[in-house]
Amino acid sequence: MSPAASGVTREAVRVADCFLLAHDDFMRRTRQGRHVSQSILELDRVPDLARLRPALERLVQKHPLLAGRLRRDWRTWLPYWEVPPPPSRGLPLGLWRERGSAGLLAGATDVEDTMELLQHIMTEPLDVEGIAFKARLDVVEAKNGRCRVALSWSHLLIDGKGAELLLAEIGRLCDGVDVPCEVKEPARPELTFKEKIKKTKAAVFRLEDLAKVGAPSLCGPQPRRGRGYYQVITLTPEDSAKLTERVAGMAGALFPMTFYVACAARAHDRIFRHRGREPKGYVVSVPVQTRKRGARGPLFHNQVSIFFFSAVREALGTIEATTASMKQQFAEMTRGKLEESFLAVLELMMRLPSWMFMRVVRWQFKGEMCSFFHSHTGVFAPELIEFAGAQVTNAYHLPCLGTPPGTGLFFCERGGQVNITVTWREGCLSEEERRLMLGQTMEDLFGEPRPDLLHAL
Amino acid sequence: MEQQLVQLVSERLLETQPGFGADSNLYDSGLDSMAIMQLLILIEEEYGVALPESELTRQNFSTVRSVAGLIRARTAPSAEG
Repeated sequence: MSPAASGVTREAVRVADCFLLAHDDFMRRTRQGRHVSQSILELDRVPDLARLRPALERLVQKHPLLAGRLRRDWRTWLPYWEVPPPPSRGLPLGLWRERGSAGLLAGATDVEDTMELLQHIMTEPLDVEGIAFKARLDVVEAKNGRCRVALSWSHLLIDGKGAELLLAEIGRLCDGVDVPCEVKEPARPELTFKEKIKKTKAAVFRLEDLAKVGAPSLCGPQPRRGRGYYQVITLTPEDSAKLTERVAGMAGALFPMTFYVACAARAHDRIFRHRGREPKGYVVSVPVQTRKRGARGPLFHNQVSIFFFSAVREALGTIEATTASMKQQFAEMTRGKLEESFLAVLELMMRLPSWMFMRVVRWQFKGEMCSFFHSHTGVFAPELIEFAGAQVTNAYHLPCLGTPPGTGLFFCERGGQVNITVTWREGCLSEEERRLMLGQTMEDLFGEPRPDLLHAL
Repeated sequence: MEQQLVQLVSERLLETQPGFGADSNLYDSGLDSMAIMQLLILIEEEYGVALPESELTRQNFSTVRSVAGLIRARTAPSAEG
């Protein structure tokens, strides 16, 4: 039977998908699980399952790519999505309740520790009943009557912004709003091979410069197994307002990302110095959206490029100096269209087998990928006010945590509150180091020590 | 200048909605850090104006009209001279 007759269709991968495919394969080969992240909604009550269940069924009918499999074309050696006919069941839904909760979620399984449960789900395969789902949803009823919804998603198909858009799409379907999601993706110009090579130069030169700095990570270049840990700190509206004011004074109101990446660099440097090491500097890759600003979608594929920032020893002395350096690099990379250049590099690497792809990525930094993971994703899904009849009170990401580099510091905002997510792989950060890292982060965020914010795990 | 800027923003920076104009809110239209940096570079390329740090406020970048005002203020002396 031909693919068309069987209802199976093909969909092209996007350029950045190939990097995520290589990374997912690297994590699988080194037994670190898969490249799965979570996006969390905190709700004021349990959602209405009578609305949620049919919404999840409609979701996979509407977007069968959620059950797609990545294949490689043997003629072109390019990966592509094999999209099956819509599955006969909805997106997997897990129901859980913390011990001591009211038990409003019928059929939910008791759970001791929500964070441990979420971490466990992230390490489990997303496949259900032989269907290669690329996402699942879990609802956890909390003791205090509130609720968490966790969308676990494979980075093969979805990126951070896409996860926010997907949650909004589920929310719309819960409300009975079933509208088309087709959106324009920015067109990539057709270039000759010579033009493509020319376009890669800015990124190649940048990477060569960064290789001189090096990208030491707290975990070291060897991949490590072991569980991942996450800590989320939500600042109060008052602290968030203070922070916003400080960010504006430090980075300018328009470029907060440069301040947050500086904080992350100094927090990691604090741990290196605690270990008696003073590397020349650090390199951090920051995802840059390639979705056209103002457009709603697209929901799927990795619509990102990368900006590589460095934090050299001379610039790490004060948060002011580090922020100024990041801001200068941000301007230079934007001016040099580094995001386009880096995509051109990835495009030339699309046909590489995943193992070779990762070898090229890690070769530049002697086995490392970058010094730590970081992102500042701005306001989380501002359009998502309600979800299946419950108010969204907070939202944040729990990004996947592979080694190297094994640690990360992430920031996002929701409803005027800043969320800080610290992540680390077992063995990469001791309890004392976690406290030091958070201590340095808070000191830089607020300009003074804030021991009151260093919650125990 | 406003019309030219509206066109630049619509074609090269933001997926603007029908009816987008000089007084539309740029943040509601998706303006973020990256888009602002790209806008600053476009302004340099198109008008030869480098806006100083002190003028990079949220208010100044809220509409195309306010951005045009910044450019005009920087280009006015040389235009008169």
